[in-house]
Amino acid sequence: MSMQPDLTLPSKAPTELFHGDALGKPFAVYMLADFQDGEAEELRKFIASDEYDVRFAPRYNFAGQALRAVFDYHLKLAEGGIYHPTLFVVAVQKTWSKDGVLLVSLNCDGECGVDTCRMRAEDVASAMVNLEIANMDWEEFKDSELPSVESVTAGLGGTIFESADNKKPPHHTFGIYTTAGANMTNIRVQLEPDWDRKQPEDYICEFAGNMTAYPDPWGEVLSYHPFVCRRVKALHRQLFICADKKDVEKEGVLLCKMDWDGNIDREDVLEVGNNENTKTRRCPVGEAASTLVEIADHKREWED
Amino acid sequence: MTWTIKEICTNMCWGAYCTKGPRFGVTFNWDKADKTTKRRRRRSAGCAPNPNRCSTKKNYPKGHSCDEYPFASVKEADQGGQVNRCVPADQNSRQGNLIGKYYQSSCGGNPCQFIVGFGNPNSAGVKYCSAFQDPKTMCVPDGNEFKGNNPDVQPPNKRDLDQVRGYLYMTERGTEVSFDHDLEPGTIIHSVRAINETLFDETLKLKRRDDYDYYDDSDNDDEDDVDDPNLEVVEDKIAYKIV
Repeated sequence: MSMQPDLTLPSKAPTELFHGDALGKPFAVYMLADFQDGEAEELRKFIASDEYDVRFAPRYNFAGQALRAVFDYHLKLAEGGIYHPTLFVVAVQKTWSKDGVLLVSLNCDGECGVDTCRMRAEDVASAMVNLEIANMDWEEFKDSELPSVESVTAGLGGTIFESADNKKPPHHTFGIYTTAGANMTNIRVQLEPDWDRKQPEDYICEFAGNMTAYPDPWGEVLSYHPFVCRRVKALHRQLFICADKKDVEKEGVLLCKMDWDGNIDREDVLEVGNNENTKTRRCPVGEAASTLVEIADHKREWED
Repeated sequence: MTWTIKEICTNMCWGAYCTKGPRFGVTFNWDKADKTTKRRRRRSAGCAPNPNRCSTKKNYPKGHSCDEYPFASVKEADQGGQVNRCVPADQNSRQGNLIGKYYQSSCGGNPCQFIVGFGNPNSAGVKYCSAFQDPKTMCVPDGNEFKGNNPDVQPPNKRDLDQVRGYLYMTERGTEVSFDHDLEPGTIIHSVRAINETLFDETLKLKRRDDYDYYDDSDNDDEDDVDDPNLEVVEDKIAYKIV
């Protein structure tokens, strides 16, 4: 097992560096691991991803040294006013694609002084921009910091890049349409009360269209739904919800089942849906989402 | 993950059309404020000190971040009364990238004035971006909109709501976009858009006030699932006013 470098840093850095806006100044990258030139350039390009100005510091190879050596060097470099003074990146391990890189802040939001945060290499440039314009705070990045290499080795941190998707059971997302000018926000809350606390990919229901203004709103829904499925691939192709009454709490919503092959690439996608292949049934709004989930999971039959 | 900033746009539109005064129009000034000033703005917006209400330390689900409007980087945040919303952190990060890119490219790294508009305001998953058309009905707080440290409330009286204004336009590329300014057909738009973003994603549009450059992230035709897409600048024009 390779020796872990000493990553300790002073708690504070000279404050004279911290005045003014530094947006646009290139971010410096350093190496504590022993990279070959090609490997180092590969990492720099990966971080920059053709979007950000990320450069090697004039001296960037600190292989075998402590992080403190980089810190001391960067303070001198920052005096030149070319590089971003308070944010820089350090590759601690050659296995950066798995273990991430270290973002160092010399003035994290004015409260915590000097600090480090391990994050994915592809996220680090974006994080620096967000910190620079104060769109996000240091603590917010620390909230989702990658586990340290030591904790992973000891089995404390799990697999760093374990896909969240692997943990999630398959789920369905149902499109919501209205043909009666119903309040879509209210419908959304009624259908899925906790939706605003979910990641978008976890939504059970998703706004798909307000057809109220069309001469034939229901006809538009039938025509439009397969087309929406082409654009928003997460939507359930056959099952969706239509609020055909303005007061959904009192009158419920329509559960809709369109029998078609679900082929969103067909040329006649706007002509697939019609009254012949689409069934509806009325349902209390509070039960609509769970009912459709059970139907989609084949735990319940469609009842006309 | 899908490249969207729907929750971000929802928050911006609440601040633009729904919150009770001060309501924030769409003209902003990037003033290159120092860190202390931006920090103060984050605090007055309710997103600082940390941990803020969107943190796991405050029992909010992991992966969320506090988004404030107006941005902490603009002078208009100094008037206070900003709104904030807990949004997926990746959306907040994308917005930050867009703003930072705009400041560097369109503003040339110098203080500038710009106008924010909202593309595809009726798109799926976005709230409040069409609220200028019917604020009384559409400005219904969902519990996640805060003003400072308290849940925001719907503007209570008709007089206040009557002050909400906005116009919906169609661009020559076929994107609906709303501004609170009365723009002429032919106004040039420079959009910064995510390559491969879905048609129904909400868009963020920024317009230079002085030379009518626009900046947005916007839609594209295919492929929902794109990680870290590159952004491209696309020229567009206001074709006509819809509403």
